[in-house]
Amino acid sequence: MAETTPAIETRNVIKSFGSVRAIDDVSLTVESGIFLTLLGPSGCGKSTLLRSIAGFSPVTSGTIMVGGRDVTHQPPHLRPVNMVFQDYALFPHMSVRRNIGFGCEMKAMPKPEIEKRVDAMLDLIRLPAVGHREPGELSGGQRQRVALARALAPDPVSLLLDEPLGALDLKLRIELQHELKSIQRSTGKTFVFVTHDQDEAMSMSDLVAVMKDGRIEQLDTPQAIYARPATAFVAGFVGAANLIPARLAQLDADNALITVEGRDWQVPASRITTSHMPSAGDAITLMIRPEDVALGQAPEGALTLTGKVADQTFLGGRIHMGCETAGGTKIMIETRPGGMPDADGAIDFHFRPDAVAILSHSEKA
Amino acid sequence: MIKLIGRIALPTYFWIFVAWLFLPLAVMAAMGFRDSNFVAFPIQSWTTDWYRSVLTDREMSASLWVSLQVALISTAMGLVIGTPMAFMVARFTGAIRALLIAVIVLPAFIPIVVASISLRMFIGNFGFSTGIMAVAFGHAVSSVPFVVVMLLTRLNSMSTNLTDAARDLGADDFIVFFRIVLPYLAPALFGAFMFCMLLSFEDFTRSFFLGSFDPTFPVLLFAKLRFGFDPGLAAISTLVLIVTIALGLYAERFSRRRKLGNQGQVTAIGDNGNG
Repeated sequence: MAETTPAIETRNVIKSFGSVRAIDDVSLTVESGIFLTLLGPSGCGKSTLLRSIAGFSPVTSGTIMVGGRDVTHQPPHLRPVNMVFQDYALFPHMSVRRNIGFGCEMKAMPKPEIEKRVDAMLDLIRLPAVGHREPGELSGGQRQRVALARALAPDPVSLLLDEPLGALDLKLRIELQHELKSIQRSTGKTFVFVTHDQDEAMSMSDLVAVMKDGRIEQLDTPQAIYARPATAFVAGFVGAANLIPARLAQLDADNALITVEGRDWQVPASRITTSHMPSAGDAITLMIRPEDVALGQAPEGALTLTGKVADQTFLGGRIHMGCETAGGTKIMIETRPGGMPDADGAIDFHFRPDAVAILSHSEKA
Repeated sequence: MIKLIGRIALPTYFWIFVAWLFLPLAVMAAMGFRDSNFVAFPIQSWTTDWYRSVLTDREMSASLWVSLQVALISTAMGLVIGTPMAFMVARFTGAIRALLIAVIVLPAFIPIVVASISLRMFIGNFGFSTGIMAVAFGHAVSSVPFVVVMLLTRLNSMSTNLTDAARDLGADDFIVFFRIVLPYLAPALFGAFMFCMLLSFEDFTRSFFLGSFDPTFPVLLFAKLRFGFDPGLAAISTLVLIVTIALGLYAERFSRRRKLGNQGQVTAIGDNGNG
């Protein structure tokens, strides 16, 4: 890629509330034009990080750069980023047009230019007819679109979106996810999006940063986060994950020999996804997704385990099984109906060695 | 049985109550048309002379003018003192906030006579003179609590994201206050204005204790009462009643409309407190 200034950069940012670190040494670079999602459970620091970038939450230490400019000590109204709030925060006493034009007005743009900009924004959100209404007369989805237009209108370096779809019902949320993504693509704006909803993060983002306890656990593409989680927490937060205790017996450049419930298996060394590279003899955790576990005759080289079915739920096109291995580990399986287990519930199940992820044992979900 | 009560008894009860509320006022309004020097039933001949005469009565119009001045001055004082106090209280939570509100609201619970006497002594000892300014000062003391409570209710319903959003879009503190906070408070400010005006206009006790030789309207009426009722009193009272009811209904409608207009916004942010 060509040498470009990142839209946003945080360097060793720490935000303390008393003895608690809401943001714990976060260094994050958001390249221009990227849709990045900060994903994590409530209290993981994702919203605080976003508010720190916006300037509402002064950092304890560290540096925040926006568009190559140090804004660490600047108040919110001087930072070239705009926020979209979960509760929309539209000004109730102003028309939709005045709301959208507010940022441009603050930048002292000439009036005709503001009007043109507002028209363009109303077209962008496909609500050209609501300009003269008040926010109170709009539906939730319309309000969120107007909030988006208002934040985009002053042409900020980056948009910061704080769970903007959280107050909407599921159907509308999915509709707006698509719309948000397409607006991001067509405008080429940098979006930093905060959510606790993994599906939302997965479906919209170019990059996902999974956060926990004020730190970024993993920053990668949605596909990589799902297939190669760096920690058991990430594995469990992004989709369902089976975590099987194991031991690393041998390790060379290409392969790892692991021991699971008394049996040895060979796994490609590239499946070691944890950033703390384990060495031979270490306890490790084997992660496998429920849909990657299969029943029946195991092909050559597959990892096989024996267990008992504890419960099963028919889900139409799929069947969900809860099993327990001989070693006492609970395994979730999602598979197509058919090939039902024996009456006594004993089954063999297997998975491909390249579908697992080897995680460090010390990190718990 | 219950249904029968619901269909007949409750409406009957309601209308009896309404009659009890409004009958005296209706009698008063009718008396103003009585062609006689005395207030009595039945009314044998009707005239509009009383209404005409009170409208041209200099004493009456002078007292109404005094009352209006007092109301405007005291309301302005109440708003100027009360608004910053509401902002100050809004910054606190919990016990401190409760304590502050208790201190501010206290004047509303002091018996009016006691408050009036204390104010009169205060004014006398500090060399202020009685008169319009003294009365206005007395009224302002009693209107501040209402201003604070009304504004505080409205402020509580305001999402902090609203001011954050404005700052985020480039507004400094000054612009945030004048473009966002004040307009948001406008319905409450208007409501407080109307309420303080009416409160001041109808006050008798404070005006009586603190006033000088220019009586306010209620004080003048009291003075006239000593010479007995005449239909002119009924006429002027009716006129005042009509004007205050009209203003009151307008204020109520205005603030209600604003509330409805904001309702969606308020529910959307999960906050059902509004002013």
